[in-house]
Amino acid sequence: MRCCQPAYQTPDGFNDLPFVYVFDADALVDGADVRNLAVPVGGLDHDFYLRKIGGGTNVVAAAPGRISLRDPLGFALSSAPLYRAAYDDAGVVPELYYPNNSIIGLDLVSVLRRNNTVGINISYASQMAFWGVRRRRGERNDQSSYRWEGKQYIYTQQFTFDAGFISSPVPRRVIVAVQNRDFDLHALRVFDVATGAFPVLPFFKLTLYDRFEEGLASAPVLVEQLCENSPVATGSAFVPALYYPAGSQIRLDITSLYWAAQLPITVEIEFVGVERMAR
Amino acid sequence: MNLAQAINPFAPPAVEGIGQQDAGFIDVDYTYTYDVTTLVGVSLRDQQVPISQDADFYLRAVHYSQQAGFVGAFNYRLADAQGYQMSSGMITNGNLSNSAARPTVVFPEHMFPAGSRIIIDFDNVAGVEIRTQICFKGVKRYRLRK
Repeated sequence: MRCCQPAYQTPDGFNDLPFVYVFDADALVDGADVRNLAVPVGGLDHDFYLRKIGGGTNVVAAAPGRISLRDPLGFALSSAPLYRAAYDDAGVVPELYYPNNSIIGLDLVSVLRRNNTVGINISYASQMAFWGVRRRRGERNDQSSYRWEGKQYIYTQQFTFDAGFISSPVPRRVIVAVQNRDFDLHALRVFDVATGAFPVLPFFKLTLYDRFEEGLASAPVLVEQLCENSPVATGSAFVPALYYPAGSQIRLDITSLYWAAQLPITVEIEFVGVERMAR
Repeated sequence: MNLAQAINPFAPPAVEGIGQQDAGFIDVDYTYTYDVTTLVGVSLRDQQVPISQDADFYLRAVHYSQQAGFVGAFNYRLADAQGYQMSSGMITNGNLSNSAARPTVVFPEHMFPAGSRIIIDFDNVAGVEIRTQICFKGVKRYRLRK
């Protein structure tokens, strides 16, 4: 990386959408060494540029547990498998290009699935997150119809995990109406209302949707991998920012991994960004 | 101004996107590792991490991890492919990052030619057996034919 280089810009004729591909290790067996796993990335109409990797500590044991990743040609990204901490919140510089319909190759040594166990009930929070952008041909019209200048704005929404919302693949939906002015979403934050801090037991997943209701992840993402105030995945922010015109909605699906004994929990979700103030 | 293309102040540079910079080259993110198990009081000199022959390696950052149960202090010193040391003395691990998100930066980047090696001196000063992985993070630079 050169000193003082200009900010990255999407090439002309293309548009980028922030996206997270996830690998869920729920189906693996603890203690196993698993080779040649594949995380499908890209699709028929887009390529993927990998920029950040997180969640290494969620899928393998502390050393000797190790992780090895491969590029789209099958070449390893390291000279030897790395301890799991090396893939906790690790940047990829420069961004790594994965063409459409390629895979991120993955080997795991000494699998240990992070889990939420209460009595005989167990749910898994065993997931790696691969952050980057989907790049498609064509332009996305993120231009406002008025002259504007930006002002920071935060939409807030409280959500309660009641006793009935225990671990289940069926999500509940949070909808935030974007009122009055166009809004650019930069990041999410989540706070436990009882403590004012990031949840001590962050056992739930989020799926965020853009203004066209296109999901921004291949599967629900652990909250600690998606939130800017997470203690384990700093700098989780949306690049480019997500544009929501006035009158649209920000839709967020929440998937619980909690069990009844841990509930109720009330969280406040902050949608942090910039309002486009008319001038 | 298209604010959506402006810098997101919450995003680190990697998430903002750092693309290919130089015409005539392709850089690929890569990490070389040095794995070592040392007993009490062991000092290792001129250990070598071979650089593969397919590309030059530009070292940009260093960080380390240790195996649970085998954690302890160590001193280290690096030398480049020509044998020139990169510090005036041994450096304690307290001055080396153990975070992949915030590794210890090597600035400016240091080039190790293809086929060369990173040279390491390593002292176990922990008083116990330690198992350490030092990660040398940077890019492999592949030259493109004109």
